[in-house]
Amino acid sequence: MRRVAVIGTGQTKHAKARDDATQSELVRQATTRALADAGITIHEVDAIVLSNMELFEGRALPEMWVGEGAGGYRKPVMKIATGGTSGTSACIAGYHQCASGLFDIVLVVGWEKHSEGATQTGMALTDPLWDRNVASGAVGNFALSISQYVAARGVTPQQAAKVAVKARRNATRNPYAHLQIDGITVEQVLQSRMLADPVHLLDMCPQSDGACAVIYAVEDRAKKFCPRPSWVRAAVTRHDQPYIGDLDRRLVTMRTLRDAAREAYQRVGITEPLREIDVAEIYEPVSYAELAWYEALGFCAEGEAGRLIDDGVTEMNGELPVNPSGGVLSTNPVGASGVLRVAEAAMQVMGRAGDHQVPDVRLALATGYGVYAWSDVIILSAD
Amino acid sequence: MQPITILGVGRTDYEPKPGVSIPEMVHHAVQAALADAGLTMQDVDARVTASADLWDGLTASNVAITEVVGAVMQPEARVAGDGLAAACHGAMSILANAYNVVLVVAHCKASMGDSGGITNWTFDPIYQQPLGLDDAAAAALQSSALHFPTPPLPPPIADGAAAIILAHAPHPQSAIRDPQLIGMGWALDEHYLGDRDLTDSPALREAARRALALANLDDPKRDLTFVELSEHFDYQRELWTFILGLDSTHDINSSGGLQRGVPPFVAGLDRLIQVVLRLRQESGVALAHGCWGPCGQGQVVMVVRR
Repeated sequence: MRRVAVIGTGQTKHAKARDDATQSELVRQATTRALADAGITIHEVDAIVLSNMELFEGRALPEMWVGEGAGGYRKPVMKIATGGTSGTSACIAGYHQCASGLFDIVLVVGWEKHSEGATQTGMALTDPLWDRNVASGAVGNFALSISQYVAARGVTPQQAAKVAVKARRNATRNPYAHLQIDGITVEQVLQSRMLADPVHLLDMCPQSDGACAVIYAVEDRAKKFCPRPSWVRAAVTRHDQPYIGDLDRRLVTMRTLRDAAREAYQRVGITEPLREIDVAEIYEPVSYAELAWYEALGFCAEGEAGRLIDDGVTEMNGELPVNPSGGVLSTNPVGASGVLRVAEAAMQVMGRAGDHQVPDVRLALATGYGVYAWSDVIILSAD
Repeated sequence: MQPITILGVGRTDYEPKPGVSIPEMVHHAVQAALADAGLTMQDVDARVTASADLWDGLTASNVAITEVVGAVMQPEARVAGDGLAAACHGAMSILANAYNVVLVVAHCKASMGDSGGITNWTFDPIYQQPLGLDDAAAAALQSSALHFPTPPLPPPIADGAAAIILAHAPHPQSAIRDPQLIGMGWALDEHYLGDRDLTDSPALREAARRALALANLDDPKRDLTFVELSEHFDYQRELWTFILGLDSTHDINSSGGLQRGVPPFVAGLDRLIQVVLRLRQESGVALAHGCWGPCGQGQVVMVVRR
């Protein structure tokens, strides 16, 4: 496989409603910033992979209108859409296209403009025969799975709230993040409105408008354009059953993420993820899920996730900072959320994360989460 | 590019299927392709699927087919576009050495959807969508621009699924039979119809240029034995033929083309299947074409040889 690296990233300011910009303009902003970051022009881009969940805005083939915003004029353009994992799956698709030998530089852009649609209605459009009757959008189905997870692992609402606080505190150092809640406390999370027991409003990710772009280059181009490229070392996808009732206690087992991480670690030679990985940008749609992902990703033994957050291991100054950007809990334009994970992980390796930079990052992990239990795992490194 | 072998093809009949669900259609196409290739699902490393959420009335419409494409605890990517573009991506991931055997599947249940309503939502929401444009109206503009003598005729509405299996290397038992993918290209045209010369398609020119260059072919008139085009309206056959540098003396759409009724998004992949089936009978070099979006805004071309 040809070596491929991320050489530039760009994102918009994310917000509840970006009324000042169309979808195409958001994509153009992210693209322009990524090109500037990589030090190239659109003319050097050989192909483009887009990511967006069209049904959230009710658009058919949105790349037709928005592709031009990414500079897709008469270039090879393809759109990937797999639910929440759309962004990471598009990043994996872009990586494969760049490694194919046919293209040298590939641009990946994800976007979502939730303010122009009805996301939870879109999420309820599942299988019409069985699942749609019980479809409840993101909050309802997580409340079910979280209850199972809490029963199995004994994590507390306080521990989940600490995850929510960590994310929003980190986000205050990320100028692009959507939710920036200065001085947020555990009590504030626990006192926020109950959405579906045990999920409080501040436990949940927001719906954001925004876009994010990542630029890949093959080895010689990467070395030419970037002083410290972020090399792709592993990219693994696992999908799972389409019916929530067929999934065995989703957050407890999360077999897709476990298996994808196992394969990715094996490829890179990681045996002690907590010690060896320097920073992680993981797709945590709800505070409790981050705790569950700690176990699935092997950061701790089963039942130890609560201790990890209590001990501050995943805080900015901890052994393995998780989501220095503020994560999905702070910024969630779905089609871009996975691209943001990869971009933020790459920024950490490239040393370009600004005020939320973790010192001396050599190995970074990005994950995607989507549908009921689909997972992507991507590992980036400085060499 | 390193040639990629097309190990197997399978499809359903194309017709309105009121009693058949999307997963059932896809299951039939996938099982047919596996049987054709002499493989089982365990031999498949990854899948690329093609479908459209608004046509299916589902969010992440590949969720409905996870099981029947064998994606449980396995890799899958979904291209929201024509199935031939999905095949290109599948081939790219093989060229990247990410996978050895990739299943590519496309489906659409067009009989359930309101084509006018859905394709109206393809147009930008500020200038074009409020005008009530849809694919049929755009086709009327394009056929007028071409001075085509009759109103544009779309194919009969149909439901169906198609599947192919791509592999890094020929299967030892069928190496002589199986055609090889030797070139591919795809491109996106401008969106605003007013910005486009509707009598031309720079995106198809670009897609074909890339595909023919990879296949080391410089004279399509001389080098192509036959061609299978996606004419989503009857007038497009002549237009795509002209843009590809061919003329009516060439062997085009001998399978009957899309006018016998092939669902959207399945169309391009079905062109490839027709190419493969015929190349198994006679050696030659053939071109499969797909397009999607208003007046073929998205274009994709594959060159196949046996």
